[in-house]
Amino acid sequence: MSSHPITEDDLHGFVDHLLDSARRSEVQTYLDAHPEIAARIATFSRQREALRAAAAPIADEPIPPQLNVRHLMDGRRRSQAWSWRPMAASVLLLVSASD
Amino acid sequence: MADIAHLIEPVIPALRRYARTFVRGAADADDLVQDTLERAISRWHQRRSDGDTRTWLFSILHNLAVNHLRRAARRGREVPLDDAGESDVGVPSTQEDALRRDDILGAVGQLPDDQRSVLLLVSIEDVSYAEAARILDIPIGTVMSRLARARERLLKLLEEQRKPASDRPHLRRVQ
Repeated sequence: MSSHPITEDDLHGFVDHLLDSARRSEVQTYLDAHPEIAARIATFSRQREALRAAAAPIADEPIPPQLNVRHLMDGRRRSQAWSWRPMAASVLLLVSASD
Repeated sequence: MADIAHLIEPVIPALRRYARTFVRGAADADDLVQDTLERAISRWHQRRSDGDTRTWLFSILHNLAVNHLRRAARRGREVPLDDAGESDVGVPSTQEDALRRDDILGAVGQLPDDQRSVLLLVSIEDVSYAEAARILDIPIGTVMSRLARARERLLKLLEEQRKPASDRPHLRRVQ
């Protein structure tokens, strides 16, 4: 057991699976000795799982056409190409006027 | 140019999921994702070369979403929450595992915006605490305190939902 006391941040890190294995087992040992805190942390873990399950179907939906990156990039290229035309035309005018 | 699409495309499902759970309302959420993608394409050169594409995209989306919610709040229109748990009124479900999709997402919708963002990024999008701090542009200590408050608050909201309709306060939020 390391000398670092267990912090609230460690408990959330435990819930979110963000601790390294050494710290994770220290937190587990701590939770085994503190059933009330362990119960609260277990509730947070269930909450997390319920959230993930509820939101998961959204990421499985097919991407609609307006969010297709290739379409968006193509649309941008076209509008950029058009935006050059008036400028090119005015350059031509200037050149021909100075003749 | 092809690598832009290559780097952005894999993140789109997660961006949609974050937008939908953060602002609710599928149409508004997809509009925000579209704005995010257009901005990312036009400002691709501003992206830090050492930065992570996902973090960058999420920070663009989050800023757009916060502005969207602010504008909606200013207009004073009612933000449509899904009819969370409406069909369950009067049916107390005692089992925690029976949390239905709409119950929990409806309850998340009632969290303050700054708590909801941290909870969603960390719990659903598998964003590390340091990455969440970068996306939201806040210190990591603030990420941790908002996460802790969000979890406690969500617990209370879900307990409220499970109470019979007669002794629970109105859950519908009108802005």
